[in-house]
Amino acid sequence: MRRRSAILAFALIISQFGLACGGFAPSGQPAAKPTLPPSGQAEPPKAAAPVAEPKAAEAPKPAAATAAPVAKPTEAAKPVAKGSGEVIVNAYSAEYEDIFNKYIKEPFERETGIKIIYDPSGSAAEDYAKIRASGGDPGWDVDAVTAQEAIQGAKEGLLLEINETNTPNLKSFYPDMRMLVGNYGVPYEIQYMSLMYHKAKVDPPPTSWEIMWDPKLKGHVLTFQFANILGVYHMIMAARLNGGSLENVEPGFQALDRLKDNLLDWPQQSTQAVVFMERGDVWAMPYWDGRAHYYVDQGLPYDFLIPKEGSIPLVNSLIIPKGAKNVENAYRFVDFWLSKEIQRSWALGYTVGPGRGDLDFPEEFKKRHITSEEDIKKMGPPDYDYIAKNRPAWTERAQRIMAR
Amino acid sequence: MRPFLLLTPSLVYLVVLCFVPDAIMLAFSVFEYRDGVIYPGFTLEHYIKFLTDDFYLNILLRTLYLAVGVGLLTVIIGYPVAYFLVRSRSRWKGAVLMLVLMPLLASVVVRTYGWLVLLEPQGLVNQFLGFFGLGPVTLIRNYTGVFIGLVHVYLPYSILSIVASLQSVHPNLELAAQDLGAGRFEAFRRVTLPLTMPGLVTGFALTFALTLSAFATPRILGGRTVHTTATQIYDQMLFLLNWPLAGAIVVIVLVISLLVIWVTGRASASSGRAVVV
Repeated sequence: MRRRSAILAFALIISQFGLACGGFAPSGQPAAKPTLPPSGQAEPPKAAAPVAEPKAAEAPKPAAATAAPVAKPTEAAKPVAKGSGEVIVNAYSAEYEDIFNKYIKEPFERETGIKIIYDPSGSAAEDYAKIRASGGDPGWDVDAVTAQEAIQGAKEGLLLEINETNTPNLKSFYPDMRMLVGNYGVPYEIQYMSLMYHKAKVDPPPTSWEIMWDPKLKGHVLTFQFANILGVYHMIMAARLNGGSLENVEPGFQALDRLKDNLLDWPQQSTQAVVFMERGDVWAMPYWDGRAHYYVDQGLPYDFLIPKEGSIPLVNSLIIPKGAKNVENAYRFVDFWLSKEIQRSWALGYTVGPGRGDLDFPEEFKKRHITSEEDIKKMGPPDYDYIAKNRPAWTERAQRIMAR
Repeated sequence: MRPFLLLTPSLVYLVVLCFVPDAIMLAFSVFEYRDGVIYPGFTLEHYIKFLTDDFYLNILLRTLYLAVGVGLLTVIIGYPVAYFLVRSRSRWKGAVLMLVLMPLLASVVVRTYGWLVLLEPQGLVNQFLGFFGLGPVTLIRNYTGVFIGLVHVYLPYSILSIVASLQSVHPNLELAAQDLGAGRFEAFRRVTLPLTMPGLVTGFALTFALTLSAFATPRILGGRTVHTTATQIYDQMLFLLNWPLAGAIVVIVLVISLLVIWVTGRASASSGRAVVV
């Protein structure tokens, strides 16, 4: 009898393993004190190899308009200092990683001599759960997430402050977007929720988000789980369509309930929609303009647009967890990504809007992506703080609606 | 003294890797949670919410049905296989044993994706049914698919625990019963079956506890619309960031598992004794 109980106990313990891993989180504290990094790029380098990089392009821009006058305009023209060591960056997988390697990693390593270690694991929400579980030391130095995680992390005191002192390029960024995201994340790219549709199955092209509720599309419509902010945005849009708003999402959830009949699937990650596009199974879905443009360029029979009711902009953010090991390199990396040249090449490479409005783009590109402050204003950025606060309750509600 | 020393490495391992995380989850389960942020404190609201809210209560009940169902079915279909493995002198015995053990050699995730391919709307099973003009039947993204997958994944555990108890029943006991006038079935029913009851009960308890905490199979075969306690804990931890509720679910599931183990342990002990007496 003894032995059997021992075996049972062992099995039980094993079975509980998966459930019980986690760690302490410093929960509920007020935001941590801003920790300034040991002076990175902001300081004039001592023994600098004068590399003529287009950083100089920023020189003529007066730094007066916005607050902190710490970074003097002349400093932008300084030669680039060589760094050392590494910086561990967590971002996304699939095509994002390839584009990152080409437009960010390669030039950064060439210019600074700092090695980038890329970790594509986890969605933004999963990354955040890891940051929380590790008390701000998830094992990477910079994380590409959405504005929601930057706001949540600031609230829970798990991130380092990113400001114009430690990240001089930030001064050229859209002030409104910076306000929305707060001081613990930088809006390095701006996308929006587009309506992606199958060109042959939805002809003529749709003009309204309502197309997704059209019985003719039964079984060919996708929307996303609320673990993906895309799903949340879509519900907010559905609320607006039906007389609701961000503050009154009830009609949005009713619309989500009605959408169930039309749904092909309810995936979590946006990459999970790719297989449905390749098979031609999905005819209409909300999709970020960056990935949408990418897959249209890949030759899939799809296109994307902003319906007449408009869209909602997505602000993607870079954050630095409080326990980052390579703090100096992390700030340097973030500042690099925010520079004029890299902002432009990343925008064109990943087909997304940049976080600053002082860049030139081809007309065709401007039509399809957010490239100016007016574009953002026209779309109307939502109250990210309000969304962050309500998202858990909304996620639960969506689970209830979709549960079988 | 010395036996205790022998236990030390595994005890340290278990305490660090099992009890500590469980204790952490227990602590979290009574913390407060508002607007996505956790505040230290003491509240039982998460337990009350989980046990009174229809949505969560349903998840718990369905997971329990699933666990009882998987436990019973693996024992019922596992018994004949175990009997064959122990009593048969067939030359196929080795091959059958391999078949039983083989699933344990591949990862649960791999096996479950195999089932996904089989059970899909255009999968092999539905193609086969279509051949006879039947179907298609929905076998994934519902509890049926999860059930099928779990029975397969946990069948070896049941079989092995029944094998263990069958091995301790000497074949002569059955022969003696037959000598005393019992038919083969009668001998099995009145001698072998009661004697192997502890193995049956152990097999049931084992697969029950494993099912209760299964994650990969429900997630892959059930998709995002089928919830079990384990997938719910995952979602609460990662996406709703409601660690206190996740902690409460962990504690509730753990208590249920312990209760079932305790009850079945008592039951198998008394059934074993009854036979001996």
